[in-house]
Amino acid sequence: MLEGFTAGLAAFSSWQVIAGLFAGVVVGYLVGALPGLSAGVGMALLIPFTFGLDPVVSVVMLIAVYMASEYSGAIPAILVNTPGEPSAAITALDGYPMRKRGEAGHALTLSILGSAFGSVLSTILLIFSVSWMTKFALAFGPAEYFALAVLGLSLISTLSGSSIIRGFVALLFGLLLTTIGTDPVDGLPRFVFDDGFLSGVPFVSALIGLFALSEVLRMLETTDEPTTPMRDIPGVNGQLGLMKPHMGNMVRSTFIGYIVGVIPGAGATIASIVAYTVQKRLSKDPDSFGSGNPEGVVAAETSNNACMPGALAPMLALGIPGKASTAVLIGALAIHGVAPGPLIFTQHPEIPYSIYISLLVGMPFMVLLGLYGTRLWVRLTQIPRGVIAAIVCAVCLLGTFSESKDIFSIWVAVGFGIIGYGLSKVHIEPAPIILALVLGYMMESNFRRALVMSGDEMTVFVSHPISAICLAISLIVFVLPLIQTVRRRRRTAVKAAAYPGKAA
Amino acid sequence: MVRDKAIPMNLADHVMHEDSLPPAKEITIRSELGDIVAGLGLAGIAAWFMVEAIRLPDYSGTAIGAADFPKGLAFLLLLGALGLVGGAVLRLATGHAGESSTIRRPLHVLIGALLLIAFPLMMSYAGYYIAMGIFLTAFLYLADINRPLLVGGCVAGFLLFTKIIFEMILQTPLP
Repeated sequence: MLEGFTAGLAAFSSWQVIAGLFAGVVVGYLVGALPGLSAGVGMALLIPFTFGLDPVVSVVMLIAVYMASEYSGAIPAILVNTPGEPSAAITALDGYPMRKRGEAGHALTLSILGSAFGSVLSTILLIFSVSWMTKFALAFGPAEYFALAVLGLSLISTLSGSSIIRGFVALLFGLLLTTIGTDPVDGLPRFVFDDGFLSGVPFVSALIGLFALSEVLRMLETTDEPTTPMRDIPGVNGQLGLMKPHMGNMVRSTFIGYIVGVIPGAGATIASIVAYTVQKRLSKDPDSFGSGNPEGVVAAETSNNACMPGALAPMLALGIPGKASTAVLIGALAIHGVAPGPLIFTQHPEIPYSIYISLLVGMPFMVLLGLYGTRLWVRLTQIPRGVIAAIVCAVCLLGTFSESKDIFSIWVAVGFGIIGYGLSKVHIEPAPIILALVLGYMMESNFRRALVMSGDEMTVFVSHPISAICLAISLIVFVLPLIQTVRRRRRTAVKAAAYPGKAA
Repeated sequence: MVRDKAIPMNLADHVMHEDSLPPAKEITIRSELGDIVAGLGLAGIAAWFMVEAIRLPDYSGTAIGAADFPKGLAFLLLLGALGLVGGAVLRLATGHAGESSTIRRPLHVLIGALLLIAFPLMMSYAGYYIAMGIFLTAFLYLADINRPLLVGGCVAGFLLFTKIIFEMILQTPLP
């Protein structure tokens, strides 16, 4: 570990890495503070800028974007009741009522300090647990990797959107798309109706299309709406003493955030909900939650920021993206020829340790910007929606082209943008498709390799203990929500039969 | 299905703006209809993949060849898509309406999508700078940015940004 930190610190002696870190924090703040732009979109937009950069500079910049945008989503959530990130919706529950009471400064201070605490403690947990996870991962063979991919996919399908069947369909659609291109074992071209698809569906183009261009089309629906005027822009007092009554809440929420983050498919929104619910149950004043209780702001912000290093653990140790943002990070690393997974610690030790150091070094800068830059961020949320939509669209098209230097990739991004918009209108989320694009290749190649190695023995997946456990958990995770849904429907039906008037 | 409707703005300021903004058109899609269209579309894709997979040769000599994985996935997608359609039909039959979704300003969205499709075509024939200049100007007007100075500033600023960052610093060859 010491050698790894030395390699990471050596990388940090370069001015480009420091500049990349600061630039990433500033870009992350902008992305997070602009409603409609998520951390994943911001990172995807930044990828084209990283092609010519050193891999360490690229990854540090992207991590800084990820870290800062996870926090700054709370700024518009507290000030204008508009979450900049989906996870900040929970922060808005108590943050916005606090702002209405004239306590915006208090809420913003608590949110940045809670975020900083959660992120730093969670990074320490990541540093110590990832090496254990890596040792565990080194025992993995094709059967285990296949089972792991199935586990990741089973979580994604159940945690995306409001409907299991829609998540399932989106997941299968994404998996089917991964079969386009050259077959991973025999090298046979499959479903290649254009030469551009020989090496598969271009990931960056699909990502930019599904997330950003579909969002641009959604933005066109509301560009005639005025931006919400700010009547008062609060000053922020960085009172560290404000943290004192919330220490227990912050430690608890950090652990919740880290654990939820480690689970592939779970995310910051779920971490916020769990931490908020736990804090509400433990609070001496649970009734005031939702009407401006600072404990709610602290729990939500601490946990959603603690979730971020947690999501990096499976990415670094196993090469599995826990969420869309880490999928983008894997894509960015792949462009530089770096494959996350157990071997990253021996082949490219500077990458994981640079990530740890950037999480720890970037935090003080993020806190200072959070405490003193509030006025600037508030002004950015006032940019007309039309300008944001047009510039985001232009950056997407340019970024897509610069990734492949081929107009074909723009066609792919535009196609996925329109598909993503259409699917969103029928409540099918794009996240399962993207995560399937990441995990699909891993799933098929390891499934077939495991069969080749075992002489076509299907029991290989259940005879290996890790693989069997992963598949059993996948089955439970996939079936449990179905059982819960059936039970809920039965309960509703029983209630409707007992109180026919109320049921209507 | 298309109807005129005055849309309330952000709750904080709708009193201020509700009389000054023109009504916006919107299309409301019943979730059942959406599920049927999406389900049939995805079922069609699954069927196409299945037919193409059947035509693939098998050189592997193993139990699971190059065609089997996509065949299995296509079959599952076909089941899922038909399940989506079946669920929608069942909801229609039992009268349990699902959550509907709305497309505000459908003409703007349609023109936006057409502009997106036109961009790579324009770029192929006219080159990046002319294509992006035309595209961005049209898109800004479509997105209700009508002040010529702001539109010109955004377009010129973005093209300059492209020239400096992408062409000069990142050495991206733009057509």
